[in-house]
Amino acid sequence: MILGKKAGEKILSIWWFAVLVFIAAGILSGVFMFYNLEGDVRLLHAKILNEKVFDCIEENGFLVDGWMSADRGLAKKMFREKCKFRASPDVYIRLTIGNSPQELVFGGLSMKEDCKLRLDGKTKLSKYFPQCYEEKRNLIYFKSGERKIIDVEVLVGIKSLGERTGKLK
Amino acid sequence: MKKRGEITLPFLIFLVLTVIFLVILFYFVYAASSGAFIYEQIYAKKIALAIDSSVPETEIFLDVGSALETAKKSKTEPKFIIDDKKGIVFVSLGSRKGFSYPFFSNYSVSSEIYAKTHNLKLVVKEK
Repeated sequence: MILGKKAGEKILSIWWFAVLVFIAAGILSGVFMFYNLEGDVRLLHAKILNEKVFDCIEENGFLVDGWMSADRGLAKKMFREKCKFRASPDVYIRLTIGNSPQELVFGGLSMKEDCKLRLDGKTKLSKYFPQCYEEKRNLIYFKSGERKIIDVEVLVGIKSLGERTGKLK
Repeated sequence: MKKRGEITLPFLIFLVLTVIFLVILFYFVYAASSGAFIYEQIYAKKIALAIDSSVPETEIFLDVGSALETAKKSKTEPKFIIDDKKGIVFVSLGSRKGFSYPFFSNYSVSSEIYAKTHNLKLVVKEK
């Protein structure tokens, strides 16, 4: 112990406090980092919504009647009414049936390019970029009584990470 | 003249300050680790994903035991608010703020807490 030695006490108090502050800063930043971790479930959420879109347009591997012949306006209406999706800037859904250029786009259109980059996977993106999931299936449909197969592609992007907020906005 | 091993006043002040400092530090860490921050986020996301995975006329029972315990520790009423008009789930368990997460299915959703069984019942219906 350096008790009784003036210089020793000074060194002890200044440096001891400096060490304490250093340790406290370490512990506090550790606690903050741990409790501010975002459990990112957007990819899982996008997969769930992707499956939901297929549930809406597919029945036992067959394309549900009406989708093949619907124009973009009707398809959008059918999508909203039958598939029960809520338009939001936080979600982007793209449904492409066959090679038709009339793909159905729903929700936050600004995510189109973001999803392209995300699915491309070549660039390291910030966590604020949406998470996107794309799935392609071959579905059966009938044209003039003839059985045909068509590619159906569904892309879902989700932007929101959730928000810490004082009240429900 | 000071004797070797004698406790001086500055040393005593220093000791008291150190103890106060450590008590405050550990109190903060204990309060932060009550789990409210984490559970609010977990349950908001869990509820939103459960709603989006469901079809109309579904009843979902979620075990919210940990959330209720956390709210009890924080001496606050747990809040599980599901706004089916805006499509937002908001959970507050005693942190100064709560956590909100969106869902995208256009259903009517009602909720009820069963404190005895520690369950949150969600009823998903067609709008």
